[in-house]
Amino acid sequence: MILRSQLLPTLTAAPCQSPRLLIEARNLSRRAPGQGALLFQGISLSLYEGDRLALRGPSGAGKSVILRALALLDASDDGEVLWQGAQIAPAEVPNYRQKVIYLQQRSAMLPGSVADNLRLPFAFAASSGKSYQEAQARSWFTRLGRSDDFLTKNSRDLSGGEAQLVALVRALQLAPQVLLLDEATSALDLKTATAFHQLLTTWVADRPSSQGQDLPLGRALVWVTHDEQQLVSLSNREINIAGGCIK
Amino acid sequence: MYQSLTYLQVALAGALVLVNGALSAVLQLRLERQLAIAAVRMVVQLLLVGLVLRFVFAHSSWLLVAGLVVIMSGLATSAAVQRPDRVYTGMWWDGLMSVVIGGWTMGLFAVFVVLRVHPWYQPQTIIPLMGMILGNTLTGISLGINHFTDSIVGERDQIEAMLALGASRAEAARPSLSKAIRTGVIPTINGMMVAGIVSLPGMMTGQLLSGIDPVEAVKYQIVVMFLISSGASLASVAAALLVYRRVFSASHQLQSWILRERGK
Repeated sequence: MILRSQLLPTLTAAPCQSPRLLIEARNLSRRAPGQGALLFQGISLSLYEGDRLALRGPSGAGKSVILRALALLDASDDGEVLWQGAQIAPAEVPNYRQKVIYLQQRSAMLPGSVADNLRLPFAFAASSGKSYQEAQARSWFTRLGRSDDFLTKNSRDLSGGEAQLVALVRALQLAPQVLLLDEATSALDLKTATAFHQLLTTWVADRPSSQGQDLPLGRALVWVTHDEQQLVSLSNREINIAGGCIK
Repeated sequence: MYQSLTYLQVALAGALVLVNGALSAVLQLRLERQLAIAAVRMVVQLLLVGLVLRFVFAHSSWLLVAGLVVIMSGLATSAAVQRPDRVYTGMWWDGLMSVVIGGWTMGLFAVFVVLRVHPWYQPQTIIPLMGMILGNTLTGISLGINHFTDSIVGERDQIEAMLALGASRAEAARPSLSKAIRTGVIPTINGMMVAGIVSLPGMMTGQLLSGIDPVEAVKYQIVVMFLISSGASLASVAAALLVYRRVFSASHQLQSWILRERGK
């Protein structure tokens, strides 16, 4: 399936057993700043809870820039991104980015230990009400094949693959609804990449606990990769991108 | 006590440039031409300034004084924005705004609060005072802009990682802003640390040469040191904050692409 044929106009109109809309991109277009080269054009897509959407396409097709646009990290020249059918005001962008987290291919670490990097986002105003849970972080790292002392490792000494693991756990601990993964396992060995995929598959299937909501909102992920095997094992939907357009 | 100089005396001092020229020739530094141009420029510029100031002092009009301060501010802005390694559209206006915030605020404070000169536009006070304030302000601005833009480009991935994790633009920019502002302010702190030890400040030297009591000259110099250090600090903060508003959009997006390497 490439795209769902119809968008749900509002959440309340959807029956509770139907997957609910998380992100909707409407006719997004963007040109490279200054140069004017077209990066992507006319991108419309909808992401529903439970989706494991793969963006496929050759290098330079525009997959990464589309992910960045969905995370609102770059301004689009045209079109808009909606969260659960509602527009996102500029002041709401940090909150949106804690619900929809983009993981870049080269995961940037800040100076300090792995634990320092995990604590970092809890200092942001958008993390109000959330707190660093070391036991949870240890549990995720154990599933990813890392020992307890990994938390004390200096971020300067992390390999590219280890930085990708830290970036994943740093994102998961913020309890996002959507992960946007840009070649997020490109530096991992096969065994760790498999553990990474299993963790993500479980994470999408798990429905977060809710307070006062009958059926809590489910999770989803969007995945950019060149690895065919990953695509088959991890995705349940695909979109093909070529020349900055959906094919 | 004040001794007026004749043009012959000035010419005698000017002859010293020949010593520099001879050194350059003997050591084959090939600086003779540059030295000659610099010497001639310095003499012409200062004579012109002297003539302009004589005219402004003689007429003592607030319009003339304000006009001169505006011109000095424009020149200080141009000098400040020529130094950073990176440029962006609107940089000159940000520089001017920083000059106004740092330099003019201090100038007004000095004239109306500290010195309380009469009339307020007394050119003998305002022009040299603004010259000293603006000279230091432009250093603060160029350092503030240079280090903030360096940090934005050098730490782009870390800043984007923070934004992607829900940091607001202010939270993501804070480390870079702090570093830039520290760098902009440190020269003025250093200047205060060594004032009077390494060398006597220019204004104080001038007052001593004109026969003023040394303690009076020192009091003036202390006032000036506080004015220039506060002016430079304010301007540095203003410049870094103005660049911040350009490189981060209201939607908390980093637009580092607006920064271009100078000359590219």
